[in-house]
Amino acid sequence: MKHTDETSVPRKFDEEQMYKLFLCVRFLVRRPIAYLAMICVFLVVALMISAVSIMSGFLHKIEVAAKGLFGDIIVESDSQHGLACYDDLMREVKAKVPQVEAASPFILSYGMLRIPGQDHYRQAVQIAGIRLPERVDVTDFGKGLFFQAGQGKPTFDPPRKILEERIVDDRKAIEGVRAVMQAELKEKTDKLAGASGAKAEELKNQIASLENYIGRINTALYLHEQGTWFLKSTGGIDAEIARVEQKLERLNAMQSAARTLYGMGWAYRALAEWDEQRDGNAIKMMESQLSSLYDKRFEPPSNRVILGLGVSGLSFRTPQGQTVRYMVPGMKVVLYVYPLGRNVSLTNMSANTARLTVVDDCRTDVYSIDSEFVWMPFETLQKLNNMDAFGDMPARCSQVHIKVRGQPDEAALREICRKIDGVWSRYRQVNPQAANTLIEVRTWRQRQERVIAPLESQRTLAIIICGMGWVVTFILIVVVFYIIVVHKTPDIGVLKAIGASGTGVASIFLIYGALVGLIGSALGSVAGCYIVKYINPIHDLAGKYLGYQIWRKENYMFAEIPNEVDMTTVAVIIASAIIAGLLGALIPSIRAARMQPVESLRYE
Amino acid sequence: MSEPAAVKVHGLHKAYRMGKVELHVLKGVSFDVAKGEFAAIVGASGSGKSTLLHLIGLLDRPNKGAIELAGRDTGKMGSSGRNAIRRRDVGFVFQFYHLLGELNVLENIILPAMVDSSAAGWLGRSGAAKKRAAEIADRLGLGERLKHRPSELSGGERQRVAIARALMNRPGLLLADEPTGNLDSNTGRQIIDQMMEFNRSEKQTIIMVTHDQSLAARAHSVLKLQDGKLAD
Ligand SMILES: Nc1ncnc2c1ncn2[C@@H]1O[C@H](COP(=O)(O)OP(=O)(O)O)[C@@H](O)[C@H]1O
Ligand SMILES: [Mg+2]
Repeated sequence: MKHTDETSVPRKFDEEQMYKLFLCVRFLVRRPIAYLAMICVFLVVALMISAVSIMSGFLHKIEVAAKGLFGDIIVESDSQHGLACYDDLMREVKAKVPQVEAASPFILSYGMLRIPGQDHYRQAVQIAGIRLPERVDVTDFGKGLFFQAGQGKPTFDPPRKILEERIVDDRKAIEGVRAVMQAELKEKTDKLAGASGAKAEELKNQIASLENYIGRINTALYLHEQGTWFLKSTGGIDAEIARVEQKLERLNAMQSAARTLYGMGWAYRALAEWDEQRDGNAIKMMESQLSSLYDKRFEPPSNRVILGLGVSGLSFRTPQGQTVRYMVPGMKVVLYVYPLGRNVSLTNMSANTARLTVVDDCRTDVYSIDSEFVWMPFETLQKLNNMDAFGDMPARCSQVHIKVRGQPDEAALREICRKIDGVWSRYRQVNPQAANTLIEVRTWRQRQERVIAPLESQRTLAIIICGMGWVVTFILIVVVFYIIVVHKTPDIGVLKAIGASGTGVASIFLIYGALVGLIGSALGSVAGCYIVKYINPIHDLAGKYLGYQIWRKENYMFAEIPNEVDMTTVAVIIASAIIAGLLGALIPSIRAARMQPVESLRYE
Repeated sequence: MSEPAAVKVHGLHKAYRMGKVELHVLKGVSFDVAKGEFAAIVGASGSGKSTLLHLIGLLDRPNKGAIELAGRDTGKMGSSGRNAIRRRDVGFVFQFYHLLGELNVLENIILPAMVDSSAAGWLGRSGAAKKRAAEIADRLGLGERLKHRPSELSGGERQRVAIARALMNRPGLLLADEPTGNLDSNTGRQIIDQMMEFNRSEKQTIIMVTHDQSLAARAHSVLKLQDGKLAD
């Protein structure tokens, strides 16, 4: 018999590694139950990552959107007529509260949007009165502008040259998409010649849809041309308007003179009647000529508008995702504003009208904003809304939006709110004209409570559901591993019989469990990340084949489902999958390691 | 004594406790097996043959008594010392083969060598180990079966793989628990022939449990277990 004295001393841990890895890999590759455990981990990890990422994405989006739209702190008056002395308020707060970085007034009103020459079009909108470029110091306004993108601070009076260039670029992009569609149309038409039955029916539908898109694109391209023309030709129209206005004025003067003469005596009656008849017609003609000239005029900076990109009927998206605009800079809209300021009563609510030139469009990604809002100069909306200074009534606004330095948390923001309130209370006591202006100061979160609270509870619910799923999977993984190890107990006995140590054998199953967790969750993470990244196309496809959209844009704040993965979430999920595998393998492995070899062999 | 006995068993007691009942299987068993001897253990079913063999192979611990292997008292050893002996000095053949189903024939045979190597050591050793495994397999008539999985083999072939595995690390002592119990007599005889061949050529000590009198008759010595003791 050989001498084995030297082996009586314990061997170093690393000396036994070889067979462990070997057996691990063999067990993994040749045991179907291991795939089951891995698929289990894979599915849950993919599910968790997509669910958690999307839900967190939504909350993050809301946070960014709410702050981006209305600033960190919102000051409102508690009266119906709005907030007076807002310039005093902004000045005082900026001077006395060091955390306040910038402030800007805001008016919110309601109205109807119409487009000259398109009598059927009427769209209810919310109208926001803002000061540009001041507002960009307070909010993210301007980030989603299309025509002024990359041009520094946005204004209601951007250089027309730039607008023209952007229209040309936009045109080219749209023409590119049209070319693709035309090629597709030709291909489909050729195919239709040789097709029959259901196939032909399907082709016909596709052709009809393509023709519809191409037709709408052609209309849009025509309107692009018109917009460019309005942008270019300015002086001529203004001169023409001046000429017609003068003439109209003269005619009106003549007519009123004729009326005076008529009043003076019956002798001039015949002449006067004739004149009135003639001049009346002329006046009507002149007025309609003037009105169509007004429609073409490039309005002064006070009468400009930035449209929300999602307002219905103003643009559409092709299946390729190209946005096609009907309204480009240079075109006109007419806005009927129902004033919320003074002189408002139920019986007397007549709209104030304004012709506005479009200079841009704006996309915030918050669907309810983009589909309803139009943005116009603050002072103009103030007048339209009867909120301007009148007699001894000072001018008013709806809200003041405030930006705070840094990224303070909710508690710190509330503290700043209290300070702002305090500053204003003191100012009111010493300044008589501000005496009646009572304010309410709230953080963006308090202000958005109605929107955020349900979404937050939705997220909590989703996390609870996912968490429950995770617990179930965790238990499932533990059980699967328990079964695997119990099932392998005789093998453990064999390994011990040929001299493997108890800890060595236990570690095979621990490595095995960790590997299943790692591989399953690695694949699951990759799948989860892809699902999240392509969630919008996936959702569109699902909608197409299931015939209904799970995600109705109308019901949610955002135009798109968030598609960013939070890497911390991924790391936590992978780690817990590995822990589940380890834990599942741990209990039976430890038990097996402590058995005498022969006990494990007897184990059935 | 110039050379210690390969196996020296003294006053061995083993009892199993099952609930309140205690089953006293071995009640003081003592014997020696010399180096190079081929010993057979016989006895009725349930007489404790397997129990005795497991104790000798250090797969279990006795309640009382001593087991010396090549002059060393195994009772005083810690588990790492016992592991080392199982790795290098003892080969065990089980009645029910106990092969690993995920491994093929070659991998099953080679496993003891792998368990006895570090990762670095294995790199240098694997070639030689594979050669040795193939050689033993060849001698046992498994040359064509190296890539097969145990489930694809017959009972006789499986038992040969189990013997090859037990012989892989050239142990001084081979313990076989009814190696032919589940085989037809022809195959059983062949296997015994092969074991005796190894016993001759490699000077191996063999202790084999069997209930087959004709097989036991071929051994150098026969130990008969009866009522927990050796009968004469
Ligand atoms: N782990 C155990 N627990 C309880 N009883 C056992 C255990 N191992 C063996 N026995 C019992 O001990 C007796 C001897 O068993 P064994 O050594 O396998 O006998 P043999 O191999 O001679 O047929 C039998 O009655 C068996 O049931
Ligand atoms: Mg037995």
